[in-house]
Amino acid sequence: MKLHKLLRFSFRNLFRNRRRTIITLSVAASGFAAMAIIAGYIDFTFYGLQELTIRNGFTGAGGTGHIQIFSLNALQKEESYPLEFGISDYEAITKGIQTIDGVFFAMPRIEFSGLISNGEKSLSFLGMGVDAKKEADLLSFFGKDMAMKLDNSALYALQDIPNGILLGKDMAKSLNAKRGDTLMLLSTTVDGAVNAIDVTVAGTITTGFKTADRYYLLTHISDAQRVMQTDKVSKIVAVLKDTEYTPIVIPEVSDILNRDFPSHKFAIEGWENLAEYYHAICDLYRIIFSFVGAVVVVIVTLSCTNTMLMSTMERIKEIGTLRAIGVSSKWVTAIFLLEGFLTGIGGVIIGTILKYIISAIINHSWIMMPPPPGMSISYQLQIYPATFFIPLIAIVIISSTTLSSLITLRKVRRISIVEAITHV
Amino acid sequence: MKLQGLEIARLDNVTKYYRLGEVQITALNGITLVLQEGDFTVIAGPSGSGKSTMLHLLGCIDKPDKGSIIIDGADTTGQSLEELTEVRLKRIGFIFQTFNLVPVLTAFENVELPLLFRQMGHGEIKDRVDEALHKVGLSDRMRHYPSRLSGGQQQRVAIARALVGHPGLILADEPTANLDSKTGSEIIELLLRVNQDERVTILIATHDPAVKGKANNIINIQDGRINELMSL
Repeated sequence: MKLHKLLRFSFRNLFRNRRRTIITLSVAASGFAAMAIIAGYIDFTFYGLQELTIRNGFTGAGGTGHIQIFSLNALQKEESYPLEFGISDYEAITKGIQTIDGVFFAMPRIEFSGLISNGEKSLSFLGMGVDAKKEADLLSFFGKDMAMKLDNSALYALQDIPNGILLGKDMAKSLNAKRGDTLMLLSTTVDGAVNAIDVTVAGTITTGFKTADRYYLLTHISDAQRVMQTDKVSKIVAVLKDTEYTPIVIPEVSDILNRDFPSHKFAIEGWENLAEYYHAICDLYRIIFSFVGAVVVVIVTLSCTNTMLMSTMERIKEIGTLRAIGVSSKWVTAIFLLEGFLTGIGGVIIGTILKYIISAIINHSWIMMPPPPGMSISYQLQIYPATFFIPLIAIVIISSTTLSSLITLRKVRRISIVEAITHV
Repeated sequence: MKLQGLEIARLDNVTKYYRLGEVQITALNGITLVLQEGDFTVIAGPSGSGKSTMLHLLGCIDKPDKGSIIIDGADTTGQSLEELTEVRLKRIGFIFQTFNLVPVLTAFENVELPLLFRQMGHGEIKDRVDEALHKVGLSDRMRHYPSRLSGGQQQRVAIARALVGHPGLILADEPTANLDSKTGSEIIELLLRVNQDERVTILIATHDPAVKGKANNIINIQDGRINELMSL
């Protein structure tokens, strides 16, 4: 029998055995859709974690952005005094980076520490000097593709208040500080002296971490420089139009820095190298999802095998008749394998449609999920296309239906032709 | 025991046992039989006498425990499963009591089945199927599914399927048992006509006395032994 005859024969069997085919297709399609939806959720979760790391971060120190530029010494040596290895030409560097295609914007950050006082009570703090407008843009950018609204109103409020400061929620509570109150910010200058400036409370921030909310604050980059008496910054953060551009943009940043600032040595790090917490969560999720995925694969494979077994057992008499009239065991196997294979293909096609319908329903149902680890903000459940996983799932389904027909056929082969032709 | 004419098939001292739990049952006990070209032979005997077993052995869908089976001059006893399949495909046609048609295939497609597994072009297959269905008088029912055919028509389709490969030997196991007497007679008449027109050797296992009356050889079998052979 030639292949086209075999195909015609198998297609004919599948189309004409409607009840049997519908049942096996339903099992294969549901299995595919279930796995693809889980994969879509996994994809969404990992993408969410990635973007959350870039836009917001988990430690209270802000999002990593896509690329961070440091003075090389800052990463290799211990500073003798604050900002010893800071970047002084940050405005020119920022402008240069912003000329690169694919860069949305670049912004400076200063990391500093000290004491904050309301006159009666002083608390130690870890602070960051920022460009409030751009930090707000980094957060709101996240909302576009994740349907997760991160609150950036405090950053906009900071932008509007000169000498403004945003306090961690619990720090504000501890200092009994409200919006508009004046506090004193004390820090060590780059010369080792202690300096103090007055700042006005512009609002409060929550990092998602209770401990961080007790000691964390944000202020304008100019105020941070003022209290530290420096014109340097700790680093420059580049935000790209798409996270996927990161590996392409890094060498371009390097080229511009080497060309325009040949006397400086910089370290350029992509967000993945700066996100230890992200990797720790991903590892944990991978273990959980691998386990859940393995359970689903086993359930789907067993369901497919069971359904194929039932439909093959219904055909014992047909198999016996085929064998009796001279159809070789090899051809019977080929017919059943091909039918199993075609069922798998059909299951994948229908399952893909089913997956997109269910995904669309879920994505438009505004189902809110509990906050991710360390966060206090719920987010909307979404199922992503999971294009990477789809071919793998298709292979699992097609292999299940094809191999299960082979397994069931092996079982049927133990029945003699004489028994099979008289099987009721 | 030997019948006259050109030899098509031979059982030589064939014995077949079955196991039923702990008990061994002798289904056939030292049977020797020769079938000649053009024979229309009936195997008669009570249920459990070994009629169907003899058909299964001759049809190469079962193997004897002792003795040998020769089909068209070749000893099939030591042949592999693939070789036996080839013998069934090219030399033997089967007709079953319950017709054994594939329910999702039309009459044409059921008859076509054995030819699909031979090296044959589409045109030749179509001609052969048309011819076989014409012989059994079902040219106008070839697109009908078995469920749309009467019992007699289904058995005719089964006969066409057995004939289409031009086998030398047709084995029919109780072909009239599921049919009324009138339809049963028509089926036997059809088999007789095929036997005479095509010179195909036909061996029928049956209880039906009307069938015995049409045969030119009757083999009475009891407890796995031939106890009477009549040439009419």
